[in-house]
Amino acid sequence: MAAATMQATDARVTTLLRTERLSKVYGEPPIQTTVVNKVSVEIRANALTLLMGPSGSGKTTLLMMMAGLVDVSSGQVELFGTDITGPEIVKAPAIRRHELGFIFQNYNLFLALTALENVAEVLRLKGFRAKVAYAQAKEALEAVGLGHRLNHRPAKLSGGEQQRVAIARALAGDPALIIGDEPTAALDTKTGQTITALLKEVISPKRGVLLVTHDPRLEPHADRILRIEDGRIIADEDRHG
Amino acid sequence: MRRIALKCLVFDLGRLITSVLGVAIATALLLAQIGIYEGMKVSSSRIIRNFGGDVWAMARGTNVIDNAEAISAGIGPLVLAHPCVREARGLIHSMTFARRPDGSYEAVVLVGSDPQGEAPYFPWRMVAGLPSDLGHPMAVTVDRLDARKLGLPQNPMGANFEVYGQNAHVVGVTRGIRSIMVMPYLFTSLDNARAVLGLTEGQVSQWVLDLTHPSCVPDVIDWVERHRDIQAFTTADWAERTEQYWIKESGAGSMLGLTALLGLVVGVVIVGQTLYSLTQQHFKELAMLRVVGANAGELVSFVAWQVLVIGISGAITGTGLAYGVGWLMEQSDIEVSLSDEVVSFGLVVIAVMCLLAAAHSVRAVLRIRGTEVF
Ligand SMILES: Nc1ncnc2c1ncn2[C@@H]1O[C@H](COP(=O)(O)OP(=O)(O)OP(=O)(O)O)[C@@H](O)[C@H]1O
Ligand SMILES: [Mg+2]
Repeated sequence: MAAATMQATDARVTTLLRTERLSKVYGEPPIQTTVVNKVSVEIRANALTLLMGPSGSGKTTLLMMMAGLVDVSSGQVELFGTDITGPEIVKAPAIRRHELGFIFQNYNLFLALTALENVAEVLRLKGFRAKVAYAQAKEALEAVGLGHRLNHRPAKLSGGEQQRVAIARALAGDPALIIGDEPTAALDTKTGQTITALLKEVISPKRGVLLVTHDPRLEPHADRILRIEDGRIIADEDRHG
Repeated sequence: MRRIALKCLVFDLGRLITSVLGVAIATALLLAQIGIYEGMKVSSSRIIRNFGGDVWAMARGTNVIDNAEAISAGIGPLVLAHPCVREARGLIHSMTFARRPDGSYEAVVLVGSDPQGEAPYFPWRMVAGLPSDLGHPMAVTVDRLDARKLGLPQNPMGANFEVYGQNAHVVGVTRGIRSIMVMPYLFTSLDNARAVLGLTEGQVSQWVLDLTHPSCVPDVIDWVERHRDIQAFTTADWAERTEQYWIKESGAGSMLGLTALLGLVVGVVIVGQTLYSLTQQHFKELAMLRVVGANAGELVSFVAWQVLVIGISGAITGTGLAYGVGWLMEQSDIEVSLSDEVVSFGLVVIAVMCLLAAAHSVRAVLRIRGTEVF
């Protein structure tokens, strides 16, 4: 795994992702908007990092650039040691397959598939053989407390349970960085807290979690909070002092 | 991706059934139309192709076998005089009338020929009687399918009925030899045909020439056509002219083509709609798959698996339907030729139809970047 090859002696500072003066500008001159403005951050393993800011501040845009889904206007993104802003952008899909797990505000589960299939079939797309995929999917669902719901379709699951299936889907295959965009926004407070607590549990010396949110109730769970406004990082708070 | 695609397809059972039926109906319509078209061609030129030979000679100006006038008795010896002509078989092919026992008339096609040399066995497909029995005075064959039409018993063997004022005797029964005009074929000898039609000794409506060598064909045609009352064609040419005449004359070609096209358009629309709405419904999930690393080809296979299943189940159902419809039509006198060639051609067209139907969805899926899911 690329994360391991980065060879940090102190596990707590293993850097998974690094941006350097990363910017995104939409539109043509003279009507241009700088949505992300010279952002330089490092996302590390063993931490739950929150990216917080008001609506329209550029959180999602930054996340998509970090994952190689949107072209950058300037600056760099180094994802597991690969600069995906250059010609190596072609490697981004493979890095997403192997190193990243994604969670979204909407769970994006296939209604026709059971919880188990929703997790396992994505693993198969990532290149796992069917048998391995189903075994790992089962493990991941058990890890998020859904061992008793393996063969339920999404329609038979609550919102919190559906998001847990999505988390299992993100965790299965053991990626080093989990990225979530407002994963609790569609959930009630209590369920949101449970989901966040669950995401806090999955961090390890080899794995980090980066969540975009504007929900202040998640702050107590965070190891680190990046605050963004008008596309600029205005604060980088380490919650452990 | 196969499992995802197929489960999503089956999950929407109503749409799946509609689209499979869409393909099935398009397939059945298409095959039936091509089958009828081919059936028309086959039945219009059947006598020519079965009679065979290398060159056909007939009265100049004849555009179709069914309209051939009798030619004079002197032509026989003339065509035989060419050194390349091994054999000249006379054929009389003429419309006339038969009278049912109840006194009403029925138009029939009287075909007179004599068994001769190594010439093909004619009439072919006899289920009762022998061709040689046709030499008896006023002996004819009747097709099993036509017995009822002529007011004869279901097994017409031995029955008597009137053909253009002469009393004919059924000495043989054929099976499934039908003319394009749905008129019964009565096979008999040349002499009997002449007797009915009032022709003189030596008169026929066409001469069918067997040549010593196929390379003689142009030379023989040239030579025959030196006679100003006679024209000649190769057998294949003459069969094709006859087929073309009937397809043009009846306007059937464009009618059948239009119906088949309509079936295809309906098929494209129904299948296209189904695939597209399945794609639309799963747009976010497909974008999610793109984000987690699926490539464009894998997203396309979501549509591909679905169209494959819809297409194959629809085509199988439709082919079955077409055979059923074909069988029913055969019972009611319309010849439907569902040969292997017809079915393979039809299925290739249906495959193209499915590809067209999938194109819209494939384009939509190829536009997915992944960002749509955030
Ligand atoms: N494709 C685009 N073209 C032009 N402007 C865009 C585009 N995508 C986003 N924007 C703009 O960029 C700004 C930042 O959008 P972004 O989605 O990153 O914000 P956000 O912080 O995620 O907001 P929210 O909390 O509402 O999700 C917004 O003003 C948005 O209108
Ligand atoms: Mg956003």
